[in-house]
Amino acid sequence: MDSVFERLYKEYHQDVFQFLFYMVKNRQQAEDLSQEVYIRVLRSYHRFQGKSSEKTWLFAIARNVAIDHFRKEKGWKQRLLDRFDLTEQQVKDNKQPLPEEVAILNENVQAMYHCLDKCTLDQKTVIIMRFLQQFSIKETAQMLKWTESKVKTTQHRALKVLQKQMAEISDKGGIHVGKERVE
Amino acid sequence: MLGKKEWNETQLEEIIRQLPKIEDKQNPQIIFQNISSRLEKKKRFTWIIPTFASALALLLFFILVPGMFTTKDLSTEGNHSENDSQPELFEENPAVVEDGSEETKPTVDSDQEKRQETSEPIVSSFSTEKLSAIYEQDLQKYDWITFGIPDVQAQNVVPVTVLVGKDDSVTWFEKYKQLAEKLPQSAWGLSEYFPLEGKVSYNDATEVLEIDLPSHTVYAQGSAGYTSFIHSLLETFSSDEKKVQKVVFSTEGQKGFNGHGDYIEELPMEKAKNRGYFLFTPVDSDKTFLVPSDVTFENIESAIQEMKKEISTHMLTPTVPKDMTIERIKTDADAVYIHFSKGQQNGMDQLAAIHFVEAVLLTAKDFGYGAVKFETDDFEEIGPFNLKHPIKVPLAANKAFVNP
Repeated sequence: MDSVFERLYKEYHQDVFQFLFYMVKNRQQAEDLSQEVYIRVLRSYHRFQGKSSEKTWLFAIARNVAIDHFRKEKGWKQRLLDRFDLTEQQVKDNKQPLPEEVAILNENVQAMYHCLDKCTLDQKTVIIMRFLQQFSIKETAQMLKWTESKVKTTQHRALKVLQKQMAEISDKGGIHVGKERVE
Repeated sequence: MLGKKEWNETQLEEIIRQLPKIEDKQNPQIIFQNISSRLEKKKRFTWIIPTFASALALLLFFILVPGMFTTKDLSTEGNHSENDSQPELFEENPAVVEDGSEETKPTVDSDQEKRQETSEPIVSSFSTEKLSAIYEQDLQKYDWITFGIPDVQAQNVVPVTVLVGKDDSVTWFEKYKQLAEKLPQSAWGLSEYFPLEGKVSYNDATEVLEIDLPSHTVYAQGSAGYTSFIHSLLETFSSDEKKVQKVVFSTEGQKGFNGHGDYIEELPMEKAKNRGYFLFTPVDSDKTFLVPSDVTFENIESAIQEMKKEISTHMLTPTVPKDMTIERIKTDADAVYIHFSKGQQNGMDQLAAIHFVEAVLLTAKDFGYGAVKFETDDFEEIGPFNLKHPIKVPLAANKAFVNP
């Protein structure tokens, strides 16, 4: 195996995979996308000069791969009618079944798993990076090429969305949102 | 548990942290096999062409340099100024800029090595007079403003780029406003769309374009009217010469705008991507335009294959001639390499050939590439394009001039 691949795999693979999984919420797609990340990374690895950390660079690529994935899912016109900037759009409601890892957890966590899709793509990215991947504000800002204050604002807005959605779910006495039922 | 109605931020963060770790159970060997087969193909290609090009460049260098001391006039069109144009392309590519050390490398060897890695395109300084798109050369004399003008059926939004004499003292917004009043849109076979309805203003500091619409705006009438409006705004204001982060809407001074069944306050200027370019000839018009497709494509290969077909619903005709065989299309980080042969046809209509080259260049630009190398045994040049060298992608489509 290529030594660069081996090292990157060892150090970052599960983290990148988890990030992609929570972005798309589909194991098969996350597998495909993680391969795409390696292809982009290895193809341009010789240009990586260490100006940013390797982890930052890798996650920046992973995020682009995820965005491209969502872009490809939609036709141009659909995107137009749908609200325009993909990264500021709500992630489409996920019809995938709950992964077993989530299904065994308590209702609050299950509800949260569902509510993530009520965030925009940017908000969801920030939530995953900050609280699941445990990246600092600074690292998140570098990965997204944003200012730290934009990360903070987006995080704050995302939590507001989640707060509202979680409250709605409790109002309805469980994870029934609209006509969907996530189980 | 869920009986609770109010969670504070810390509690929410805590719940998020409880989301489970999701592991990839695939074998890394298998992942590596999958990616290496895809990588191999690319690698082989990106090394062969640049190596060959570098060898050829060296050879040319030795042939031309002695000549330069004796011959004055070498500046014909074919002799592009490599030294002038190459660094510019480097500047445009952030990935390459990162290795800034490149220019100071002392030996010829290492310099060449770098070229192979980045497969640096060579840019020709061809004449753009007979071409439809706007190229870098045009900027020596002109400024440009792109307008996304819907056709009369509101099916396509045609990007038309107006060239005006260079004048740095006038802002792009001023130029936009002046030109919007003068566009001979119906003479071009398009709808009379500009100037836009309502009041348009621009804030330099925030780079926000504000549009205040009347309450019964035409842009809210029907889904076609609304879609065209949004599409036209994106095509017009996400164009590179303008600096607009987003468009903010209001209706008679009140925040927001009710489009066709959709309320919208602002529209971020995200550039459309991954579209293919087709030919569009408006009804009752002899003017033709290169127009981006409504649909996007997964990669440039599939876009170019589709450009052989027509999109009859939109009156778009192919830009890749029927007889032409696209043998293969390869890409690296900066450039597209398209191998083609003209097929059975003896001659090839010059205009159709130029449309083909320009449509491929514009498509490559839409996919984010910087240059295209056309590889064929059938032609050495098409119109002003010398196919020996990669051609840098244009800045914008469909050049037009407007009477003052």
